[in-house]
Amino acid sequence: MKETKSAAVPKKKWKLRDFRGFFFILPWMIGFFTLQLYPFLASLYYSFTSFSILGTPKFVGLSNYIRLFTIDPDFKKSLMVTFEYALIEVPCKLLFALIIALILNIKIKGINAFRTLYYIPSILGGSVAVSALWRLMFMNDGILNKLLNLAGIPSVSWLGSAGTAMFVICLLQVWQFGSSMVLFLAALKQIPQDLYESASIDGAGPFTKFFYITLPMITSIVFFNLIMQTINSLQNFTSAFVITNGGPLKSTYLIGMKLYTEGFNNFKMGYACAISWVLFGVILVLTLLVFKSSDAWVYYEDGGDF
Amino acid sequence: MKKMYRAASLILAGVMTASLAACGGSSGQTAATTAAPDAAEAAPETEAASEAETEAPADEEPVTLRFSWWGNDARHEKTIKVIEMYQELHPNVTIEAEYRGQSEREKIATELGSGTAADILQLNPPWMGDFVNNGDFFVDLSQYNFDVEGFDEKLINDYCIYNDTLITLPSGLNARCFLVNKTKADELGIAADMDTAWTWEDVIEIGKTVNETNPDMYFLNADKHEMVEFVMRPFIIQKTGQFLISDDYEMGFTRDDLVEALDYISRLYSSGAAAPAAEANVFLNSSWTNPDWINGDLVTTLSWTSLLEGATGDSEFEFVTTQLPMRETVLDTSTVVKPSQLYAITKTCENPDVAADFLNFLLTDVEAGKVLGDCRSVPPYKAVQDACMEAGVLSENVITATQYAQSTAGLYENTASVNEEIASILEDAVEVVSYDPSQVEAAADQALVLIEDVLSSLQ
Repeated sequence: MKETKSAAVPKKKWKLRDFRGFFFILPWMIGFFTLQLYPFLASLYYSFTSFSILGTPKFVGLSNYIRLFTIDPDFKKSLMVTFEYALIEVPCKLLFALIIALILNIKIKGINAFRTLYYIPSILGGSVAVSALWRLMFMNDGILNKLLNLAGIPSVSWLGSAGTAMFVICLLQVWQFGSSMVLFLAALKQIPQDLYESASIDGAGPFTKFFYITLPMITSIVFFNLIMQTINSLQNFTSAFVITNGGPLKSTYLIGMKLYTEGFNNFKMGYACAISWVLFGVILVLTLLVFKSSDAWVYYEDGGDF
Repeated sequence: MKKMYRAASLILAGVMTASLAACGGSSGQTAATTAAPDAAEAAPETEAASEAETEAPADEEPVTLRFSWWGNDARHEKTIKVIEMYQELHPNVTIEAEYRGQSEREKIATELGSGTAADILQLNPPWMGDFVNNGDFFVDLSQYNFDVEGFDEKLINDYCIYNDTLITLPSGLNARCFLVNKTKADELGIAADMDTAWTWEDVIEIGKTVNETNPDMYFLNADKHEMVEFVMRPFIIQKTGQFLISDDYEMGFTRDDLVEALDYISRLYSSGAAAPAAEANVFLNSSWTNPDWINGDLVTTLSWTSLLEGATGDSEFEFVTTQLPMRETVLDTSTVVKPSQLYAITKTCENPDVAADFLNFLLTDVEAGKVLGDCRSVPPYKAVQDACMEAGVLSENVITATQYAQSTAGLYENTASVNEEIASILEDAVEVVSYDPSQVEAAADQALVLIEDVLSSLQ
């Protein structure tokens, strides 16, 4: 059957006009090849070389990777810091986004204005200016300590001690909950109202409804947000760089900062590329694990098939 | 329930708008401050352009050059003024000013690597090791008619010639200095002037008293970077009398030397002589902007004369410089006079002869020198220096500190000793002991392993 079908299709002669589709996606393709694929492959090659930005790369085999896992004490430290950061930041952000989404899901007057307001931090958040602002807010003479003093509480050295510095950079990320919130909000709107109605008739309270209807119904969006936010937080750089500069005692020395320092301060671009490939591997494995686990906890109304 | 939600949203929204208002205010302010110099720059340029139309000789081709530097507002304004003076004399030449607030080595490195650097660059002397070892980026300046004799010979030999080629010229004479807030020192009963010669132990003793008198005050304002540059390096070099790292990348100190230096630094912190690391390192590379320094709670700082004016210019206090702290016995004073910055012309420049002519004007023209004053510390060219002294455009403190440093100058700073990667390893060690004095030995061992690793890759 298969053979007769393929035999029946005449061999297609490609004409120029058949390629016009490519013309329309050309802008994207140029961007993809030059700004994504090329750097991606080039960095893989560089990771096997000794390459300062100023000179030409020299092939050194696996020695960059070997140095990472043997001599370099900062690499392990920064990996641990990054995991710690992601473990605190991602759950806090998702929880916060979900709570705000639940609040904004109520039908009240002017709700759209509130929704817009809550999204604004996400637009501002990634910038250096806001990070600098946070540094000013949390420094020893910053507004936060002034407020604490007014309330009779002694100043806290937010950026000067390890635990609180990590808290500050996590908080900056959690504050940018907007995009997760919008997705949660959309998911909440999708939940059929009749489920809640029948639950009410059966005598379910708000908490029972939340845990037995709302949460299961939005697991697909929880899953999506979890993946995206995990990837984002593992790649984070700006907040640590601008607010704490990795300190104190490298307690906020995220892998993104380590990568930057090696590449642009120490001019070891090959080494920095090796770090980025290890980071890529870590993200890949974590994402696959989350995907694997999703069968057990994510609910799709259509069964989840593509 | 609905009401509760509504109230909650309202409160949260209030918090949001409040925080937004705060953001808006600060960004508005920065916009205003950055816009101002631009406007100031734009106006005279158009003037110069209209003059150009009337005066430009027909046979000279229009040339555009890019000149990049960093510094504070005063330096920007003065340099732009000199550019305008040059453009008036040479109407066919347009010089595009590219200036910024911080030195940003990585920006220049990437630009050099990609061939997009400006034609005339202001460079930091410690960068030169990396730049020269990794490529051939700068034009040989000896082929143009610079009056090299007019500059300090040591400065040219130690800092401007690489691989036997003159590729840079100094922008100013920069000296290590110990800056004291005289107003506060007087209040505390600390005598400080150019005759004051403190030992390192004196610094701890005085610092201890200051902190005991007023627990909010500290004697020394230094971040971890300055601790390495102005305390650790001199402390070791004064003992060993040789480069920290030799030109062929051998270590010029032993483990004991490093342990001793780290121990001293940890005592600076534990005695309360130095501002706590947790506070000082928040203002890494900008310790002048620490509010405690501005309001006088930090009494002294170790720095370079080229930064002096920017740091004290707007202050309500009076400042003096003193001699640098020394050991009891000293093999080398470790007092350094070096170029504030270096000027170089990049090989990608299409009109290197015009660039050289402008550079010559910038460095050796007396009128230009008077405009620039001490915005890059003391002018390096003798004739300009004399004219500026006569005209009184140099700050008293800058002159005394420079003269003191010149009379006591020791070893120069070779590029290996100021290697950025080694500096950051030492900074990490300093940070460790600043938090925990018991870690001195461990921090030294860790640093030595890493320094040896870096040196082996450089050798």
